[in-house]
Amino acid sequence: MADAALKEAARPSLWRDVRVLRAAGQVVFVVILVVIAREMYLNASFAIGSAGRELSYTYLDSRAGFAIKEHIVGYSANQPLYKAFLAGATNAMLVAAAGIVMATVLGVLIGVARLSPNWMVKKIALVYVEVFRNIPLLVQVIFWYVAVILAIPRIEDSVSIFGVAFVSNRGAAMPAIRSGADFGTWSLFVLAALLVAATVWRWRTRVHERTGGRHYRWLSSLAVMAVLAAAGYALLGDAFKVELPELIAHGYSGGLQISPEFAGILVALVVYTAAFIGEIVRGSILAVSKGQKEAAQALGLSPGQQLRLVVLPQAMRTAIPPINNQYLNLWKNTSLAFAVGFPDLINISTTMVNQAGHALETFSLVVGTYLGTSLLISFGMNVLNRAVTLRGGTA
Amino acid sequence: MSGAGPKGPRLGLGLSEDVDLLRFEQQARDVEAAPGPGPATPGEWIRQNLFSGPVNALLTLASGTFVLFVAYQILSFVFVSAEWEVVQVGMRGYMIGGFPVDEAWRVWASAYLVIVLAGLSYGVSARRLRPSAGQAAVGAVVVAVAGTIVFFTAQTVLVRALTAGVAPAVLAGALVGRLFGRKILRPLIVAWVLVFPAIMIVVRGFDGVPPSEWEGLFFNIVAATVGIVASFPLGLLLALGRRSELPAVRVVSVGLIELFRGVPLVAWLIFSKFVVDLVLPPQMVIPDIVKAFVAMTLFSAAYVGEIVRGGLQGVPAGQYEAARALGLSTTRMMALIVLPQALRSTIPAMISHFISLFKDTSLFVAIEVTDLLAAARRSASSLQYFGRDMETLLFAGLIFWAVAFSMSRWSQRLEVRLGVGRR
Amino acid sequence: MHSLAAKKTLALVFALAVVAMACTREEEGGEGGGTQGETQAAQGDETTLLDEIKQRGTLRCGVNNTVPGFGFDPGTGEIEGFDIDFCRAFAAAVLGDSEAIDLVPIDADNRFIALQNGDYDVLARNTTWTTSRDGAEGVAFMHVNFYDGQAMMVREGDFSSIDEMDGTNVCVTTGTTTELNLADYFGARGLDFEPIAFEENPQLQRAFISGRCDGWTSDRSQLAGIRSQWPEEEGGPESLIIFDEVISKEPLAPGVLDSEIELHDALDAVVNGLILAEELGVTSANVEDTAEDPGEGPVAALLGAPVLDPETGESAPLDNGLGITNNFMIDVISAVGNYGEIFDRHVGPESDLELERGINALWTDGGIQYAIPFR
Repeated sequence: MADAALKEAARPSLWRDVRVLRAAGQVVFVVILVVIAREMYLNASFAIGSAGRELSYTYLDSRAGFAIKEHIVGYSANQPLYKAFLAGATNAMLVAAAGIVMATVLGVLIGVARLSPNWMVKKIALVYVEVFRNIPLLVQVIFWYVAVILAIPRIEDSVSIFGVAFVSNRGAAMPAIRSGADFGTWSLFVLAALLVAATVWRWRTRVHERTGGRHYRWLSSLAVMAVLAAAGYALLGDAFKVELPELIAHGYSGGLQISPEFAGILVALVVYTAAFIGEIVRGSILAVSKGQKEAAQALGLSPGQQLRLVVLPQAMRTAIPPINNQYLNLWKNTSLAFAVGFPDLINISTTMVNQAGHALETFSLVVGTYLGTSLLISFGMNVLNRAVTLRGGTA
Repeated sequence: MSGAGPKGPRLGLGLSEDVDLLRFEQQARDVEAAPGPGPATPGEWIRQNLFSGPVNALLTLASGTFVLFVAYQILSFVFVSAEWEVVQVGMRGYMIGGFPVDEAWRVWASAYLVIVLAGLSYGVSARRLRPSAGQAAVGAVVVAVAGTIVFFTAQTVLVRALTAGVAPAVLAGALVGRLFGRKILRPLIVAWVLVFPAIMIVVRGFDGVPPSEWEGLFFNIVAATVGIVASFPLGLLLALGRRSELPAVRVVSVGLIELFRGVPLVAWLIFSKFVVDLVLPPQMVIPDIVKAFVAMTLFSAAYVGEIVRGGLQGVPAGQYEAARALGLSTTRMMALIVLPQALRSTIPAMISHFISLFKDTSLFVAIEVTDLLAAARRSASSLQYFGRDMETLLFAGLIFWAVAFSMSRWSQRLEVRLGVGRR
Repeated sequence: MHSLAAKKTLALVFALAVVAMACTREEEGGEGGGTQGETQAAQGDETTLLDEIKQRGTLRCGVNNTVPGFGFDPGTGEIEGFDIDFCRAFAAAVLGDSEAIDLVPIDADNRFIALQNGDYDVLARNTTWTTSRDGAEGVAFMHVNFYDGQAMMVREGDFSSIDEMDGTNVCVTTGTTTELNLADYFGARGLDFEPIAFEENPQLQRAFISGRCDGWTSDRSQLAGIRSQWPEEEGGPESLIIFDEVISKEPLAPGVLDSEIELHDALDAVVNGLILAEELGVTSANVEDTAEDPGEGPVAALLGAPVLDPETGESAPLDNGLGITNNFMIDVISAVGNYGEIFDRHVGPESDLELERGINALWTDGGIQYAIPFR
């Protein structure tokens, strides 16, 4: 009994109980946030209402009316506004996807060049990094588009590369591979070829392990696959065909075409981001402890094997988080396309707002799209990171 | 303590990863700075570094050709085909844009304030004033280039004199700083803290110039400074909020950080100009430029928050425990033990963030602010100088580059001085 | 343990929020652009924009600075042109001083949002009057001050009519009616095209010069202005032709916000007054003499001269009820002249643009400019 009384006495009063205060504080915090959010919503709907409009997304179904010069979603001026928005979003994503691949390749090259034993190569890479990462991206975007791409010869004097590819300031056109009627069947063929090649790979590996002789597994499995795929192509007749671009009156027809605006923003993004990725690659290679390299050397691995089997896997582990960050930056930086008139998310949405109003709704969609895609990229890199960490952990 | 890898597989939309990056860079510099056996003769050096094998020799030749080609292109443009008159005519626009000419003394006064302070700081902190031969050579080249630019672009004798006065001002500051040494360290720090408010008073006070007329490079510098100064306390709060034990505070902090960082600054600037008015009470009218500054501050605060969080994570648990053992309250523990250590380790990342913020101020052109880049673009589209894109872009790029590059160099030196990440 | 820290954080957040509020309030009063908020807060909602402009002492016009003849900055920082003179006329009428203007250069893309945001008072930026701009964008347009039409400009010798322009690239400004008309016009003729859309004319001009686009479409008046200023090293004005085909009707008119009916009415009277002045032969040269002795009838009414009441024998000015002085047209005409003078000065046959009056001639001369009477 006395015990309970003591406990009762020891318990602090309600307004001094830390747990109560914490809960109350949080409730107050949340309530204040909700009140502010509600106030903002009411202000917006009042402002929009008093202008005789309403806060809703139904306007997205009305006819857009403006044309967009390049898109991958089959858009035309007669289609609804949401389709225009979609065209802008996919354009931005296309630039980002191409940019991520190319910036990674260039960045790794720069990073490795920074560590090259060759003094000249090392210094070129250093200058590259110091120049491009210290100049605002917007300056670079305008520079590539206005000073470089628009200065390429006009369409009349289009530069022809062996008659199969063309370059002018209306863009570049190159041969494209288009799927034919039998493409589906042929891809099954390729799938089968892949299986056979895998089997060959395993067989060669086993032979190598048993006899110690050279395995040639790359060579043999690739050869098997190539032969089978080619056989399938020959048998089916219409698996795919190469489409050559043609020079017509005011542009190109057919083939794979790249517009100057797309090229401008893409080149700028790649060159800029690669400078950062290069530094990450260099830093993470150097971060692999010296003992690891020495141990690999002691095992008698060749320099190439050392790099491939010991250094790079470990370097990759430390490089992925900051590289993910660069990918996110690249995605966000596609918004600078406004400077060159490439129809990206920002470009299309400002046009939409100007032609159809509804600024709040349209720009909230823009915010949502950027955020969603950022999360998606992060998620993908997270998956990659986990895979790499796992392998590194078992090694 | 090397601590190469990240703490775990945690991955956000994060900038704390960039803190990792800075750590790599520093390690890389350490590794490269490690003394190796030096070559005996120049011939030996060339053989070792350029022609150590057939592949290497080929690389040297190929890259050498490339360097010669690029150098030839650049030099022939700069000295032969370029017409620099457009830069000369547009110089005032590049620097201060439409800032009233009669009030330009305000900008000069601000600039000199910063220059003298920088000189003093250099004098106080430099271990030796006498530069090495390499530094002297680089310095001479910089002075020569800057001098040439000033000589050819300055429109009036006064401007020429004021610009030429920069070097003596720095030198005088450095000498005075040297004279007093560490004794004036404290006043100097106070002066640095006060210099931004002081500049704001110089520019805005006494019938000054409103922010809507701040243009050119002056705008870029002021906007970046506003961004970093205003976003620091906010970012600190977000970082503490993200590590809070209260779920509501944590969730809101994480939400705000991810929201502001997941969307490009251009979108936020446009948002601030065209949408924010709708959600504010109708009687509340804020000038566009202030709304844009607020947008940039929130954007930047999300990054600062992540940097500070990275710093907080680096403080060992033992420090908390020791502080507790001494009986310090949470506030005192944070203010006296944890934050000083955390913030010290974030200085390089902060400077690198500041550099990127400075570069990002060029994006204000999306809401029709005439910054350095916009002024350069405008001068290339005037009738008289139509098509002088290359000249104006190169010049604007050079100025941006000079500021960003010198800041990153300074940050590297600071890192060495502070011994960040090396304890 | 950490809860205390968290509470402190919370407190800090609140403190910061309060500080933030305080800051914004402060900015409100401190800024030149913040006067609107200040006066509104001080006097409640009854203050109209017209009153506010009078208090402020300057009229802010949203203008173009890239279209020669209409609103153009030749690189001196001074914007001049047809639309700018209308802005001066408005300032002369409302404030009695044609120099009391603040010209706000604005992109086509942003003009309506900026108007709604109160960044400027009057839109005088070659803007086409359309139903959706009347409705969705909430603009109240005044009397049309320029009847324009969309046209196509190409390099000499490339094409002879729009029908030949299948598969071409066409330069166009984003966010304009031009952009919509282009899609409609080409679509209706089954012509394929790619729009090369930029926000600003200088960028378009660069793209056009470099050969990025085959044609440039815009209002005929704008194209005439651009053509007149075409750089000599690019072939000068003669290297370009503007097709006679009319892609669309483009009635250009100044506008204010729907909610500012007082300002709209006052400025609408100015536009009409300018046209009427030409019809009545009142010019900047003779306006002072005419004002001395306006006689009776339309001229006297236009200049706001006192009207003799035949019954009492006293003369009293006719109250126009527009919230501006009765004789505002005297200030207006002496500052900028009548409609014909403005037209001739900036865009007429003697100017660089060499535009004929065409349908912009007075109704008495076979055009369609017809002003409401002053009475």
